[in-house]
Amino acid sequence: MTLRDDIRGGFDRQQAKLGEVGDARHRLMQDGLAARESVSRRVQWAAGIAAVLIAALVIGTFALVRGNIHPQTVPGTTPKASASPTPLQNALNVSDSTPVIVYHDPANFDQVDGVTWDGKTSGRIGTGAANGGIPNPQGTLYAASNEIRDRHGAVLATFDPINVGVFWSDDGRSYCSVVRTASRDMSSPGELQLTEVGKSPRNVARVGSFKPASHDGGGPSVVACSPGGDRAVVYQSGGQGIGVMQFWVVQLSSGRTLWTGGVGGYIAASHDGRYVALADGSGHTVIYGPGGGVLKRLEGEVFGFSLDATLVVAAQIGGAQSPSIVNWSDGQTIWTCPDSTFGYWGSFAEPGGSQIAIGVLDPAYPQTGGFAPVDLFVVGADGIVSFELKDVFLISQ
Amino acid sequence: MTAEPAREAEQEFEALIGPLVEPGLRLAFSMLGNRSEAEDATQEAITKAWRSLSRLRDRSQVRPWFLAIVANQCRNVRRTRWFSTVRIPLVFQPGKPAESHVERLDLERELEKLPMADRQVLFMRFYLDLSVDEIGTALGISGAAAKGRIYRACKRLRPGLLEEDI
Repeated sequence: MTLRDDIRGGFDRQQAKLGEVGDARHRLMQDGLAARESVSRRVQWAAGIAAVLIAALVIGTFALVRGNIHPQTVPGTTPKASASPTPLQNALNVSDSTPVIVYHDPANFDQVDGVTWDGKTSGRIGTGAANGGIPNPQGTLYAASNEIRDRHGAVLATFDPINVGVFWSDDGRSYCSVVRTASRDMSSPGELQLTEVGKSPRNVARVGSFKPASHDGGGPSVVACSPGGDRAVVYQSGGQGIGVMQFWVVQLSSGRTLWTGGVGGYIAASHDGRYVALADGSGHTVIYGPGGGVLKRLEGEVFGFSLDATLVVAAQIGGAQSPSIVNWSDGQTIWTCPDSTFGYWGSFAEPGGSQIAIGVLDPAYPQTGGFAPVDLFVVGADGIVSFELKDVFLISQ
Repeated sequence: MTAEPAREAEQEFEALIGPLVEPGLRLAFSMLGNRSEAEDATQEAITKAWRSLSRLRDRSQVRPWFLAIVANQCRNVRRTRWFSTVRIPLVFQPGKPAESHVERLDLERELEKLPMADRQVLFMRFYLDLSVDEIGTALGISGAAAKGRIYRACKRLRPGLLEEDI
């Protein structure tokens, strides 16, 4: 008997204690519809309590600020990406090299919009992202469908989306991918490739292995790609893409494996590939250094690094730990998501800067379409939130 | 809204959501461990679903969409329990020894200890048979992230678990 059967059996026995539910469908439906126009007494009571709590919170916040206690998260501005009922019309009016955070236009998912890392300038970038996209870290280029486009929507290159998973390099000018070395219906080793946009791929090294596509057996994936740092980090996932069976730190210039490790539940790497964070699946993470030595053990699961790799984004699936930003060397938490019920969505580091953008999921606003609405906090290295985007549909790699 | 269109809207809503009431109630029961609270949460979810049905862009996603509302409602119920004593859900108290052997007893105890979010994801996957993508939709995360949650929840049950065992 498999674990699946055991779990199913456990839930079967649990559900037996629920008793007869045949009458519930009609009754709950009628009662639910009867309550649709009214605000329940419980909600009114809760609203009263909430008003008191909010007042207390405001007073408490003033007291904290006046007392010069750690000035944690005071947003400077709060742009609302979803405020516009129609797609953004204005083109992004910054230089082509200015880094931006990229997201789907809330009124038209095919349209790509961007906002600068200071939150002050936003505008339309391009189109073609109805089914998602993968922007480079700078937000200057993005892969969508089988094309790579610039901010003006011009197609610079095409790629094979079936066999090539684009993972942008930290400089944003090329991408790493691991491709099959035989047809999709056969097992084969993976080939790590580095592709400069508009040029032919360069084979770097054989790493990991693919099972036949029909087996859903996982395969090798890239988590760091740094031509400047001369490293890529590739890991082999398990069945259905779950877990980390092994990972390799590969020198891009020579194809040599610098060091390798595993096994774990989740892996993240610094942008230059020098640091690797491997979570064990039980809420603990080990930080490895450039040569593979263990540098630190942390509570929680690490999902990303700041650009200089001094900070990590940590959270814990299951909600035991709120999304937070931690200085991993001394374990100090510099920022924690203001609502402990929010879940982690994703994060990315400011190119050429020290900020981290961390996306969190508000359980009160579940995903109802193709993309999840995310609250995005842009946090400095001092733990101060420079701005927040509400209910934005982010595009990130 | 006049009476006839209103009735049609209700019928359409019932046709869409009606088949999901029982799965919703069972999900709520698995998360809350109390029938009365589970019914309250499901009823509230039905009301919220009615109010926000226009935001459901893809009707084929109605099952994970509605279950997400139920799950969110259950989390709200749990959050309002701060004033009461913490109770272990009765539903996960082990059954009579004669009914289940030691491993099953251990598994039920481990299920009981799991965080609610972990129980939720396992229930969706292994009891309601939702696909990984549907679970992702219900939780507001990617399918890959949903797989990760399932794996981690399973690993908490069985630390030495291999991928192939799932």
